[in-house]
Amino acid sequence: MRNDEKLVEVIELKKYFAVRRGLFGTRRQPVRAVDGISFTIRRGETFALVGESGCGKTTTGRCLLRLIEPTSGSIRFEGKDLLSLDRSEMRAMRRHMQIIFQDPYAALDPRMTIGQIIEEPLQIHRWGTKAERRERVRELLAEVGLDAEAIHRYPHEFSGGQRQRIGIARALALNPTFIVADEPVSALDVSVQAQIINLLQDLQDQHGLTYLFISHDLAVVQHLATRVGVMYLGKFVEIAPRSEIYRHPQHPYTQLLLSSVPVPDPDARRERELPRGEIPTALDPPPGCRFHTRCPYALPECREQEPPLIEIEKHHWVACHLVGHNQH
Amino acid sequence: MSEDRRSHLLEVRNLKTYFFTRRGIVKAVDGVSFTIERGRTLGLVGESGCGKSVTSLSILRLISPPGRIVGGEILFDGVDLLTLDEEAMRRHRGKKIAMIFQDPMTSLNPVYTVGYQIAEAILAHHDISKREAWQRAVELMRAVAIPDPEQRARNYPHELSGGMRQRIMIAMAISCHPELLIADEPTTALDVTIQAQILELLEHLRQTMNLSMLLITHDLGVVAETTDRVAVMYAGKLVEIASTRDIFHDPQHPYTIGLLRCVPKMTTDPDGQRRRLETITGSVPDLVNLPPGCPFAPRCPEAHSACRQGEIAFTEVRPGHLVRCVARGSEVISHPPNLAVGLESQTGDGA
Repeated sequence: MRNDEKLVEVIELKKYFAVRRGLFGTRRQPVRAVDGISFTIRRGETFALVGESGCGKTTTGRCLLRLIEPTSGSIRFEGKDLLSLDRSEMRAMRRHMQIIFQDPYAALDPRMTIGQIIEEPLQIHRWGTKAERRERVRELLAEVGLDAEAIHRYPHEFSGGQRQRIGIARALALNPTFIVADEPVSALDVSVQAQIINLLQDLQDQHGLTYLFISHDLAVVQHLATRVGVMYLGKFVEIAPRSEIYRHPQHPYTQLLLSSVPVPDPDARRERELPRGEIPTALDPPPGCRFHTRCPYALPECREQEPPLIEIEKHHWVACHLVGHNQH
Repeated sequence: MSEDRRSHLLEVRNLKTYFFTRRGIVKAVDGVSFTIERGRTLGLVGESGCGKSVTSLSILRLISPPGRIVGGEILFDGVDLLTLDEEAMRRHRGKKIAMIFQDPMTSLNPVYTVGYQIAEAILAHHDISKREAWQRAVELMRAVAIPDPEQRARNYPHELSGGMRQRIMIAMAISCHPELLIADEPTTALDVTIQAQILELLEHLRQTMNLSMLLITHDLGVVAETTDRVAVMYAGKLVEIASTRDIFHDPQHPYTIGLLRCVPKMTTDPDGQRRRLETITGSVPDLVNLPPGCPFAPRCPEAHSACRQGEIAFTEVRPGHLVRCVARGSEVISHPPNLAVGLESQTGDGA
């Protein structure tokens, strides 16, 4: 049923940030926010990036749109190498790739009306006449479930959920094929969160959108994702179809993450392996497997050798020395 | 109510905290009543702006203008906190009732070491030497499972991770052996694996110190795992109170039912199907000039005209399970304000 065509292909993506340390900022040390990751996103799917703060999921999303410049690696979108495009070619490309942010309020200019905010991308890309653009704005408002009279109002007049709808309308304005949704429902109350999740699903069905869905909420991800990539300190530890990740998580970190989620059922069995220790900093990631400092199963080799991401079953990739050795 | 009164550590009766703003009176907490037993945890849940944090700040009398507690009683161990003078109240705060917040960074002073700040909290309520206070601070840090506490005590807040900072806040909160701990979204800012550690720590402390806890959260998973009873709040009012099990297995108020349904639930056995989530239509009402009656009526699938005709009384659907809903048999009181079952009305004349 699903088209298996690759829409986005990421190969060995790295993003290092230089951080000044020491008393006068004289020591420079790179933070390896994203440290060599490869994955593909298929047309029409929702690929979810999950992980805890500092794992590099947001940086990955921004690199894909070149909102920040990757340090190295390659990103192909519909077969074109994005990193070889110049500024104006990249701008033209952004018609097809858009982003929705966590905090819709910070992303909306408070001095612009909703009509101006949604029309802006259309103007930048010289889309249609003024009248056509106005018509398109009305169409978009209806599509995201806002009244047409919103056109003349300002962001502060709207609730969080409505602002997220405005952000979505703007992202949709140019009919993109690919949308990076960076924690789009994390700041919303649960009753509103459900409305936005449904809206994102409806829009995907109607327009055949492809999503990169970045989230720390594993319940939301289970609801929306087709495939899930779990990141830890700038690397993938596991990539698999949704049902595989939740049913047969292989990497000890994925297992830990899933068992840490509180279940909204007072009778649920809690056999929780309590996570050990803290998440190390990406400034100084542990050698070998980055997770070994917190891993209950770590072997001596885990401290020395970095495990490669290998396909243990069709479409199920894991980076762990223990997997395949039948040791847990 | 059916529980034995003497077992109550905290009894809040018909609490009203209003904010007198230029736009009008915001009834942030409007006639809230509940009890917390010794050694038990009550979860106070609701969405942003429902008044759950204002409720907790009212218990500590930390409401500042334009807000004011305009009515009700807060009985702590039989003493009405609202009648105490400021000096007596200060002795309660920290010593008998302690509080932890969502973001420990805003509650810690960035220019003092964490050990110093815990020691200060101890010195505020105990007549001991600075050296002893420092020793106790280190011991408390050990009690909240901070590794290498002698070293860590010399760190400044920014040198610690979010999870460690929250542990420092907890160490400070338990430093004077409080009887009641108010935790306002204590794990919301933390990663999920760190959240699991902090919840485990709070549960351990509750058991070993026989703490009562008021846990304020929007996360129904956290509520299910850590509380004995749950009070659901909507637009300044409680709509349902019951045991945690009853809330999750037999919710009565349409708002509680809607809230539980619209949360995506994680299962270990997902099927291939994508489903639409159930939603609650509309959004939370503006608390200024709220119309009379049930505040949830405009969004409620079971609403009818009686819901808007006056205050809705609580009805007890089973022992200890109280709900405020016309569709569940609640009475409509057209002349307010006897809001809580079995309690004398406490009129605060407010404005």
